[in-house]
Amino acid sequence: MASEIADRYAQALFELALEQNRVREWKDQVQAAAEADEQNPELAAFFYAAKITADEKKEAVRRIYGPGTDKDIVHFLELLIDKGRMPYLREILKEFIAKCNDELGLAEAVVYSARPLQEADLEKIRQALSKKSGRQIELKNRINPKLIAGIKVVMGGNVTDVSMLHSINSMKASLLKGEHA
Amino acid sequence: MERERGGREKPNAAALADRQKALQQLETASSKSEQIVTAAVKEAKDEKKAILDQANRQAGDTLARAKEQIEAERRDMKDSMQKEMVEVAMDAAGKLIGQKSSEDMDREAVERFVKEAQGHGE
Repeated sequence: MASEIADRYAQALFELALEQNRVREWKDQVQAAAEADEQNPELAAFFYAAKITADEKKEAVRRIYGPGTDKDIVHFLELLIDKGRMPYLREILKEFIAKCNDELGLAEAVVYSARPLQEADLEKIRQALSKKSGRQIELKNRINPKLIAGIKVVMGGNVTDVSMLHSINSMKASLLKGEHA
Repeated sequence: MERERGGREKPNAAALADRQKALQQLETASSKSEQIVTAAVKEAKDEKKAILDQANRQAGDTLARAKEQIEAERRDMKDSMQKEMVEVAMDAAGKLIGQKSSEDMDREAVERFVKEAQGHGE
């Protein structure tokens, strides 16, 4: 559940996107920014650091996001810096993406596998999830060799694990409980 | 003291009474001392019994505790060995499957997922 502050800022950006009829476009851009933020913890540390001035942070925002991001989104990020709301950045972006997904009838899902899946298999998963949720699915394939084989699908709060790792762990647990002779 | 004829003195009644009293006192003292000794012996016996009982109880408790501890240690060791065996066996199984795992296994999992998703959707 997003905090009230995150929801307020996400809602403001979302309404702007609606007004400009650029929900899909902004969603993709914000998603790219969110992924950059997630993958670079040092970036988050930079934006949250109290010793770095607002101007320095805004300059960094313009340099990092300026080239591929709509100027209104860049201005929005600058506003967050001015208001000292950067600690909420991750939450705000997540909430904004969720609002866009609702508007566009989209749902995000991730399928983990030990090696990259074939496009045909990804399509089957996409269709199954779409049929189940009634939404168009944005599916990502992430690699986790620890799964050994099989797949683990995560959508919202739902996890379906049909990986070998899960089977082995379940068997291990039942053996330790003495459920097998 | 009256003198009997022939010069011998007659026993004085008072002296007799004293003697009698002394004898009684001796008898009383003897009886009391016997009671004291009997009581002391009984007390010693009771104390001995109490000490022995307590020692037996303590020995019994110690033995029971030792047995419990040994049993708990045995159980822990058994559990730990069992856990280790399962871990080793499952890790080995995982490695073996990992070596043989293929895209076919992933595809099978995809089919299973799709089937389950359809099952839930219906």
